[in-house]
Amino acid sequence: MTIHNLYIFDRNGTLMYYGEWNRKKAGTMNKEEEGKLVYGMLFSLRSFLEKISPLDLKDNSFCYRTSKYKMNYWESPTGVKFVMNTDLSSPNVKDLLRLIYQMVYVEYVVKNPVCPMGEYIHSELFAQKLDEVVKSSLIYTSKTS
Amino acid sequence: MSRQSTSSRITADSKKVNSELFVLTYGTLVQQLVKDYESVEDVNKQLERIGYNIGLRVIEDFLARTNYPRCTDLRDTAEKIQAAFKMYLNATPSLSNVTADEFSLVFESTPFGEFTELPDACANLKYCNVLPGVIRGACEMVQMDVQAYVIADTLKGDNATEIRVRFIKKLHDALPAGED
Amino acid sequence: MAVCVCVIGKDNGPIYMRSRSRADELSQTVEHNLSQMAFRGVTANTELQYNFIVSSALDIIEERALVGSSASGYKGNPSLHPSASGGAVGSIDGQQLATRELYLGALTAREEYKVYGYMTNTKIKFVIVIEETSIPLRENDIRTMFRKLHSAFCDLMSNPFYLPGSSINSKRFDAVVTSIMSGQ
Repeated sequence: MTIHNLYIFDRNGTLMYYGEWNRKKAGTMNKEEEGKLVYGMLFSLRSFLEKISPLDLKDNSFCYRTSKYKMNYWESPTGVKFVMNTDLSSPNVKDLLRLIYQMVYVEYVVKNPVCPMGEYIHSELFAQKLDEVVKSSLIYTSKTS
Repeated sequence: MSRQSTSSRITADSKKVNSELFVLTYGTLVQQLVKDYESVEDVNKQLERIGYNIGLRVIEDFLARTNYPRCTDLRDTAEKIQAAFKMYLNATPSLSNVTADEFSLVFESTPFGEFTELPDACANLKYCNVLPGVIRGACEMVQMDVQAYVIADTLKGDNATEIRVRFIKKLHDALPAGED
Repeated sequence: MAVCVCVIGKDNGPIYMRSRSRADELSQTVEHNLSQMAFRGVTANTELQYNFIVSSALDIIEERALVGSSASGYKGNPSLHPSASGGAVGSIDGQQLATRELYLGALTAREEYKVYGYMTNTKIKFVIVIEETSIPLRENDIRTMFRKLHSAFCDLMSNPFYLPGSSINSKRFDAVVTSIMSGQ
């Protein structure tokens, strides 16, 4: 199991943070462009899912998988979107994303009055804590695959 | 580190601050605003704006702590706001006059107004005007446009302090910039 | 029965003065009237008279405070203290020995009134003038009065609109003083 990278978008689709851990192939475009592309795809996918879903979508999360990786999406009720790419065997990424929201985003962005909301997060403390949480998660540590 | 224990620690962890210190801090803030602005109306407006900015942030903390799902109707929202007051201010407002798009939060006494006596020059000051601002800011973050205002205040001789909240419309996520 | 309550600021200027007005006196019960009449005979101009009494008490307060700060563990002048074990009530927090006691005891006594003083650690002085009646007030009652006054003063200081050191103009404080003066 492994974690590739993480995107955080605010409610308006601005890329607030990008972090990567085991990304084996570098992207071909810059981060900003890539963020826009990811958000645009997710936005469409989400509205597609809402329209087509045979069940009531309760928890604002979904994932899609290719033969190589899995993209997990979780959205807080306030519209902050967390997107994480993992490998195929990783379970419960939704819980990890929620944990990142609770333990890192709320604590070190929302509660930091000099950290503007709706812009890219430059806080080093945030990056450090995020790294800690990600690296201590089971998905990151266990090397079963 | 097991994930279970950390997430339960979050909900249990609520750091407390001495209420008198908080009341004094708030009082000083209001008093300074009264000094800095010429008209009391401006002070009310500033307090509301401060509250709005608090609301934008405090809602994230509230949701992170409680894990509440989306509200089903306005009554649900009202009850959650009530719970939030209990959580953050240890105040228990009661709900009254709940209709399809409006409700009132009634406090027995003005929050933060424990020691306050309004001088005659500030008769129109809405002392706790941050609270409507907080409600507006917090609701906006969960895609609800609301209007909130103080309609009764114990500091002005009313029996209770009442904040009226009116639902205006549901907001929708903005489309990504540059995509159509 | 307290007839005058006065609060004196840091720089020895009065910031609050309340004495029993003539109207109050007239509305007193009959049994009190007798002594009141005699009292009024002495003091034609009540307000001014109380001002004078309080001002003269200030000097004594100063002197007491000086002694108090130089000798720790001082508990008032024993000769003026009606009860020698006055510290028992004052030592709420059990640290009283190390600090000066706020209650200064009786400052002056005349045939018709007694003056009691109290000074906070921030040098705010409270003075209460007690009229001598047939039923003497106990030491504890006086202490209670001062404690009530002190806590009302703390609440007043907590009001963000009160400017420290300015004269007191507060309904809540007034209400407490009224209850003190009417004998609880």
